Amino acid sequence: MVMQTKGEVTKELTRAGVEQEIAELIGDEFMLAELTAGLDGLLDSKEVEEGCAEDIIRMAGREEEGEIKLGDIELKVNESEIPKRIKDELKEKLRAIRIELNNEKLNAILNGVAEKYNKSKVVPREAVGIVAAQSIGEPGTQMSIPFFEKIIIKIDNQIRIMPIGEFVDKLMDTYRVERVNETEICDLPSNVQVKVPSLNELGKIEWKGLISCSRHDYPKKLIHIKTRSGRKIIATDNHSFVIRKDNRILPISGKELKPKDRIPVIKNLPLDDSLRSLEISNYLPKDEWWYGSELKKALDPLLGFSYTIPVGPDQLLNHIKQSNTFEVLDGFVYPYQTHSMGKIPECLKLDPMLGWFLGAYLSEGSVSRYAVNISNTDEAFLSKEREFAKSLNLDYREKDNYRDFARGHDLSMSSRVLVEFLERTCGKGSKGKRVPMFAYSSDEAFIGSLLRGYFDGDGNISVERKVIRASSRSKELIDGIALLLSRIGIFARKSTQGGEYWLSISYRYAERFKEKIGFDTPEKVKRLIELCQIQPESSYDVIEMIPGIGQSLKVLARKVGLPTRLVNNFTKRQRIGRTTLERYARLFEKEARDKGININQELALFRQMLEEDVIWDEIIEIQYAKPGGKVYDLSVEGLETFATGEGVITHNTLRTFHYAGVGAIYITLGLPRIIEVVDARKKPSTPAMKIKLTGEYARNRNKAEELAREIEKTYIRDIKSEIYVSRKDMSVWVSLREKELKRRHIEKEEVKEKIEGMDSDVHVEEAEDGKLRIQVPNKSYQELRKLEKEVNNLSVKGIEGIMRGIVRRENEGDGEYMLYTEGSALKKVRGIEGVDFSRTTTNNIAEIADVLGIEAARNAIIDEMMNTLEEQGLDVDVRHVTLIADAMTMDGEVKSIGRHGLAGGKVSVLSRAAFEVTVDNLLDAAMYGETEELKGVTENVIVGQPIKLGTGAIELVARGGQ
Amino acid sequence: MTEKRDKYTKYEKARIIGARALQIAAGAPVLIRTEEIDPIEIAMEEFESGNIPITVKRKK
Repeated sequence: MVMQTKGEVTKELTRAGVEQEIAELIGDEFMLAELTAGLDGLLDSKEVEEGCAEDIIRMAGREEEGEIKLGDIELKVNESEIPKRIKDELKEKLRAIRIELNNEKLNAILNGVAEKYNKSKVVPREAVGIVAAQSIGEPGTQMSIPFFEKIIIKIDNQIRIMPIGEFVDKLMDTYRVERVNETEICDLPSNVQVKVPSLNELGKIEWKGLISCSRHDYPKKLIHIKTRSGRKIIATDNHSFVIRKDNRILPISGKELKPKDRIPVIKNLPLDDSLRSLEISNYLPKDEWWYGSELKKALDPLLGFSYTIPVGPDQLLNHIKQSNTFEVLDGFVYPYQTHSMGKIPECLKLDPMLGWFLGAYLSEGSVSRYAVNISNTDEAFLSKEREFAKSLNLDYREKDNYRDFARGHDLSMSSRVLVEFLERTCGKGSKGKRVPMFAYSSDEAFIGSLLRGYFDGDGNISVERKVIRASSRSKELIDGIALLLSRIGIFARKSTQGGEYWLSISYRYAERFKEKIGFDTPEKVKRLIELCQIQPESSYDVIEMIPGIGQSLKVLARKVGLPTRLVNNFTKRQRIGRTTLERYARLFEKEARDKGININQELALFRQMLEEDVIWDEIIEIQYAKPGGKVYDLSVEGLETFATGEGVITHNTLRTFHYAGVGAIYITLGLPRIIEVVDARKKPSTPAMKIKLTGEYARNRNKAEELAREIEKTYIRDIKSEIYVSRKDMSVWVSLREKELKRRHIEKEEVKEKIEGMDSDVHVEEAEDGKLRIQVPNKSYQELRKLEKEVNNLSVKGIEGIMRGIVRRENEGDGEYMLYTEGSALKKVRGIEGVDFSRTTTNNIAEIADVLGIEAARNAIIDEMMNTLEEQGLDVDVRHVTLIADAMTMDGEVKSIGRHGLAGGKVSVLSRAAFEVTVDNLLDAAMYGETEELKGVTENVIVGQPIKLGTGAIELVARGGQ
Repeated sequence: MTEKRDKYTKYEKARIIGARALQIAAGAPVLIRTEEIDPIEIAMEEFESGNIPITVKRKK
């Protein structure tokens, strides 16, 4: 054996070697004998293979104080109150770190896990059934929002706001679309990275990737939700939203929402990587404007032959001749016609100076063809304008104006390029201005100064009303400013008044406003400081309430020994204001410190509540809106939520069973599924199979996909573009869709054969234009119409019953490929090449009983029920389920529990009558002259006799003697 | 008909004592000397001392 003592671990160990080593270390023969006995198991185990020589010596030899053996872990974990599915995983993990455990640590770990589990258990009386019941998805129960509703997305680190319909339509035009009943679904290929802001359980916003999108026609009504902060969202009424309940963030169906419920709106939108600079060429194309760098390339052939300039090669010569009057500098953009002044850099840095200017433009700016004009009388404001103009070397002119009621002052900067740039990015006119899209992706400094410029121009502060306000005739602008504010963690309220759109920021954000934005105008600076000094203690903010606090306040109050009546109000109404919560958190903290009680966990929960990235906005109105057009939906990984353009967070799908991430297959869960199993339904409402693959098919994704196409059922109607009967030549014409044929790997030949196989005198031929002509001799027009229908429903490929097949990988990146199907056909998939039948399973119990036998069915019943229960978070011991399964299968067939099966099979009349259909049972019994033997429990209870169990099972007799 | 002698199940014991207690409560003569006054207690003492004239008939 090659083994060095201590420190070095080798893979080569022999038993003799280890024994010897141990013998040397302990030097006691008796002990050695005992130890080597125990070594047997160890040496065969994995530990040895991993080469943990040190371990073995330590384990087998000196047992250090309190070190844990494998058996101990087993025992302790089994004893603890942790559900089975966690137990197994826990045991594995504990085994791996066994070396570092001792009794104390082990106990601490087990207690911690048990506690965490108990905390997350479903509380008795929580309507688990209802959430589960709604998950009987007909796959068409889409939860979606209409075309024009804007959403926030991030592509390549650039934030964009666009209508969901536009976004999804574009995706569907580019990538592959699948049709499931009435819905079109597009899975995003893995190389396309689109992210959306998503809300996690801690109330924080995370950017999560988009997995797929869908659209469908929606004939029913839409609901129109208005919140107190002035935000709106329109969605189908079974679109799922998100609410806060019992300190958890849960999905809820739109149907269940009512006024006073609170839905999350983004208060703080984080961004890791921000945009630093802007390429002007993205907005002003190079073939319409002069780019110095391009001219340089044109003049110097050494720099390359391809260049883009707004003139042709002949005119270029002219320009060069006039080079003394016209200078185009490298790195700058010039207008086509007039050169000289008014150039701007080809690459604009997104620095605070530019940000401020854009803000100023948005508030008080206007453009003419050659100049940008910003009006303001404040000297601080004006000097900043001048600074900006100078930084870009722009000419500017100033003069007073008497347009409005008071004296105004204009500052105009001359630059054709700048004008065009502003028009294209920020719009113009009082109704047309908007926040430029790139602003959302820039850093806080840029945004802060943009907002500063804007509020310095259009904003006003009212200390009496305790708000900072701004208004505009452009709704888009106000929405944009609100979203920008959320980038720096300020929440604004919106309202509409007589054609003007208003935005107001509560004084509670004044401090933050001062820090991140600030003002230049001295008057506003002063008022802002005053606003900051207002104490938030005395008032209560209707909007900034945290709902769904559960019993946490009450529990905490009790723990620190404060009377619960202090917090009863909040617990009863299930909401508490943010500042109030802060106050109470501090109070509890102090009490706990004084009394030496540990409330760190509860405080952590409060911290989390206070640091949420969202405001729970109260719904004030829900109306029904007229339907029309298509509705869209997104499927987001992990957290499954995304946000609208106004920052309202919405959930994508309501508890559809996500197979490894994509909500593509719908399976009945929860209570309805249990009912199905117990009722021994011949066909479950969502039959599904999990087919494991063999060899090459399991390793290679393409092969797996191939197999999926093979077994997916395809009918002519899925691949046809049109089918009709032609009177002229008395035949049926079918034209097929090339794309579909290719996608499903079907050859036209196959189709031809299948059609010909319909009947012996059917003859198919292909015309020049690719259409198929089906001829049957001696058929009347009516019969041809019938034939047309038959052909339409003819199956071309695949196994009857399998609707859809999806290839999924076992673990994230590793593991074998397997096939999940919608639809079940156990017998038929057996012979297919690539299918590993011994590991294939289905959720159709009747099928299993038929194909694999009654014992297999019994096991399937147990598995199905245990899985469903565990999935719902209910901890039911397997024995109860085993009992049911045994009772159902004891006679060799799968019997249901109800009156058609077990209960109805009873011999006793009274028992059956007591179960269901009382009168019928009694009548029939009377008619047939049945006898009641009073053997069972129910009938004895009915007549009032002792039951024939326990004490009742005994017959007493008198004893002779005495 | 076989009588059980060795060990009674808890149900049998309960049944026997119960039946005997009923008899005692209805005025039957008590078969042992005892200080007890509660019929059930008396029946239990009788049972302990093996003095109850009731036994179990095992079903075939």
